[in-house]
Amino acid sequence: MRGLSTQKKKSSSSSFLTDEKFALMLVIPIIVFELVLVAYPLSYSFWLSLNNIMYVHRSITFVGPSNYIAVILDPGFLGYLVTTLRMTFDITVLVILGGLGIALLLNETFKGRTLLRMLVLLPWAVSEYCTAVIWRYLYSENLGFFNSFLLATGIVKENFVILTPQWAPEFLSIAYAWHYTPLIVFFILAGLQTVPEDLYRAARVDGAGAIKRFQKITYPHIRYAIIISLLLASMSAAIVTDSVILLTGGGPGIATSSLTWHIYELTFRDMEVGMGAAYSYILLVIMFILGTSYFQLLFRKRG
Amino acid sequence: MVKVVLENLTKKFGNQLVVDQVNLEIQDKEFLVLLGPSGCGKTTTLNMIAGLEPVTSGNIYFDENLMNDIPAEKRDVAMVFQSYALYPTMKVFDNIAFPLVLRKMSRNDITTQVNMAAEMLRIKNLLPKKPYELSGGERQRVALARAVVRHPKVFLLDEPLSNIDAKLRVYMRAELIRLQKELKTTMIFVTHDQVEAMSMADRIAVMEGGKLVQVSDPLTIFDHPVDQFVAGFLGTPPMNFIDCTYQKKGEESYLQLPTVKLKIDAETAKIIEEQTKGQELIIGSRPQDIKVSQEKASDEDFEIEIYAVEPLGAETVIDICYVACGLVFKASMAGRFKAKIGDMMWASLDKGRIHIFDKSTHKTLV
Amino acid sequence: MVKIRRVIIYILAIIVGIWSIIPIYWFVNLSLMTEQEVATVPVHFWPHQPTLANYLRMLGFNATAAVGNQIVSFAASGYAPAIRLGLINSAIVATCITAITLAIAVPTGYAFGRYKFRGKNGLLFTLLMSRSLPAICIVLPFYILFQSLALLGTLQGLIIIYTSITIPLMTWILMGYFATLPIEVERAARVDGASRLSALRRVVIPMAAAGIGTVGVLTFLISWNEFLYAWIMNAGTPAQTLPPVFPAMLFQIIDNTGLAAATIISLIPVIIIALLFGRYITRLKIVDPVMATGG
Repeated sequence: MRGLSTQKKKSSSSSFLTDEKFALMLVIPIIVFELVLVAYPLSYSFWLSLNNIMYVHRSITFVGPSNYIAVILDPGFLGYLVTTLRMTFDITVLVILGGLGIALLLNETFKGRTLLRMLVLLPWAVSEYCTAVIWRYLYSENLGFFNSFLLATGIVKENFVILTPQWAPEFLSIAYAWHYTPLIVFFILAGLQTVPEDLYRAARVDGAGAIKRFQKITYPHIRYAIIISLLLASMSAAIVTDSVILLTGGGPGIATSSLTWHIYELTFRDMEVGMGAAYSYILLVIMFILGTSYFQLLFRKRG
Repeated sequence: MVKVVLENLTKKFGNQLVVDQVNLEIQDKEFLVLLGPSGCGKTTTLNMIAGLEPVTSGNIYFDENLMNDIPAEKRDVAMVFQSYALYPTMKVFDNIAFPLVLRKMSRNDITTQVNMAAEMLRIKNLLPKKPYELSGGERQRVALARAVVRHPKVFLLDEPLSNIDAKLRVYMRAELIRLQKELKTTMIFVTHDQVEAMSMADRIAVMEGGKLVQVSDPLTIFDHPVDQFVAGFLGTPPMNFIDCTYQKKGEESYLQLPTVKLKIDAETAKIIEEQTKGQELIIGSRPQDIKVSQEKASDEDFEIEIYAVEPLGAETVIDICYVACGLVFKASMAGRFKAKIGDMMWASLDKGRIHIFDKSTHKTLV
Repeated sequence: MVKIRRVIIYILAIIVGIWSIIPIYWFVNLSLMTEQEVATVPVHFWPHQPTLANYLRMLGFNATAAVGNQIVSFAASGYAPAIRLGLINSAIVATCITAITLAIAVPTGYAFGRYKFRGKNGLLFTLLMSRSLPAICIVLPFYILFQSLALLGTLQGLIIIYTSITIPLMTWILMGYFATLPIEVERAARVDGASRLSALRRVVIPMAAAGIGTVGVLTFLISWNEFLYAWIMNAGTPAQTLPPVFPAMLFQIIDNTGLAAATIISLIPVIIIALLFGRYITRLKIVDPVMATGG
């Protein structure tokens, strides 16, 4: 009887490396690495936030949640939050509209399109800190491009300050959007290129105008890319730090003092490490909520 | 050069039962075709034999060896995929040499073996080229050479002819048969094309819905299908089916069709009565067994209207509509047959060659 | 009607092109002028007496330039040593990061992109979440930790931190990429006798060369461009990379044209890479990995 015969090749199932085991083998080491590099700062930061730390006296006094209470009671807290929200909004709007527009443009065929694609990629290849330095000078009164341009064309009579307390957040947002938009452009462009050309032709034959074509054909194909872009852009915008440090330094005054800037101030300038950690944690929670919604959205789409 | 035995082979993907208790014994040096419609589980079965899919339950044996726990790379099977799956970054020579390189053969031996395989498949001139430079048929030969070069125990093919154009396909069929006989290997061939199955197989194993329905040589399956599915799947144009009822009047037994009664002999009647209690039956008749003529030849002929005519040169396929019930049959008449759409004619079934099925179980009775 | 559309497209294309290039152009402009020329109001839109003096200065050489009718000489900038050191250190760090990241992200991305396994979604989530932590929030714990481990102000320390950023991101990208490769070729390799690892090494990775190369380029760019950690952890040490030079130039001793030149210097590798590899980067489709493997 076949089923009863045995031979020396009766291997145990443990030697059979299943697909799953193989995959886990590859994946586990990195997960461990990441967990350590994430868990450690998260937990340490949390502990710091529960303490009052004074470098001068080298003292660490446990104060429980009093830092958090101080944050909530801090009159400036609302201001930082509002500034962050304002800049997040500005950046997201600029990046999505700009990204969509440029992507639609790049989807058309015209001579020099390849060159334009290269050029559009450039701002993203330029680092955020270089962007900040460059735009700081662009906005400068005496050395800036905008001032010189407006002066030369006679629109203004003398150099003026661009980064005013009222408008600095918007100008900072423009600078960051210049740097960030290409990412969204190529993201949406990838989605645009999945639309079969025939659909547009059929729609044109049926008499649909450009707006109708966009509504009925283009938009459904890129809807997903746009949603993801919205989330990516807003999450990135909320934690803009390098630009604030190098372009405006949180100013003028506190005009561009976002939450991340304030954390920097507290931790590295004022040495209020405990408070800085408390602010950090609040920001982390906000980002975590945003991040999980992103993940949820990704997954709910899969049905 | 190996006998492959599948014992209660079952595969589930999550809750979906894809292969259901398949029991099959494939003889050494046999050319066996796994035939079935898409989704019937034949490719999954093949993948389990190759070791690419783990078995949910059941056993696979090569000769007397249990293969369940042996990983794919150690099973010494060769496989040709529907898409040929050539290594795109390697030259043809290296593609064919790859299995030998993995076995750490010496450079000289490899060159000899590769040349021999290339010779057998007549692709020696393609050796320095890369896959993207080759046509579909050429790529397939390379895939075959790569499989052949190792002298494998078992040769598995997953719809290898599906991506080739029709003319080349006919040619490759003969090539594959010749190859198998020359190599003297056990070959398991998966396809949904019943013409391929009929022309190439020593035996055909018909699968449907994960279950093995019938295993036999081609002509037996053609003449004696075990149920309605197999009957309708093999043969082109496909078999025609019509409902009927069994009636007995005294000593005479009949099958009642919408307008005519077919008298059946006592033996057949006995089989029907033994096998089924019901009266609802289905008659199956192959197009070749239906005769269409202008005049009514007997009382068992029924009136039909010509629906469509396909003159194919050597035969004529006619779509006929059984007037009384509106069913459309295909009939195949040898040579040229003059008929126009709309003509009213008479059709008769060759009683000696009809198949009778039980309506509820769809199993063949006669 | 079609003609008008064409014209609009070209106008828009030019506007977008100008928008993308003007900021960089402005700094090139400033960097080719002397401090004296820059003082004019309004600033010239192209250098009337272009000179490479600024570039030479920032790299540590004395230089001369024409100003008006005279020749003025400029001494090497005090920042030059830092710039030279920064260029070297940034290059070292970026290269190491690229090598390490590829070595780890390729097999991990492959595993995520090809296979289903228990806890996959959870692990993916962890990977992604580690990316969305704002750097500023976790700099201090690392600062303190590295201080005690004597990793502060070292290249190794920076490399550890950067890889924790690049590996999740590159794994994510490669995951989508691997999922698009034909699976039957891998299966053919297994049947031919290759173990999974062998198949990965000999067959899959060569097939994925383009995607892997692009990911390598991306990693290099990201490491080269990182600012916050480089500044807070390594500024003022022998392991200082390039970015910390800039806040110094902004907030300490101000040297406008020198800063412009230094910025362009730090941008040169970036621009070269973007020009050479931009094509591949834009083609890298960030495929939704969940869908690609069927969840």
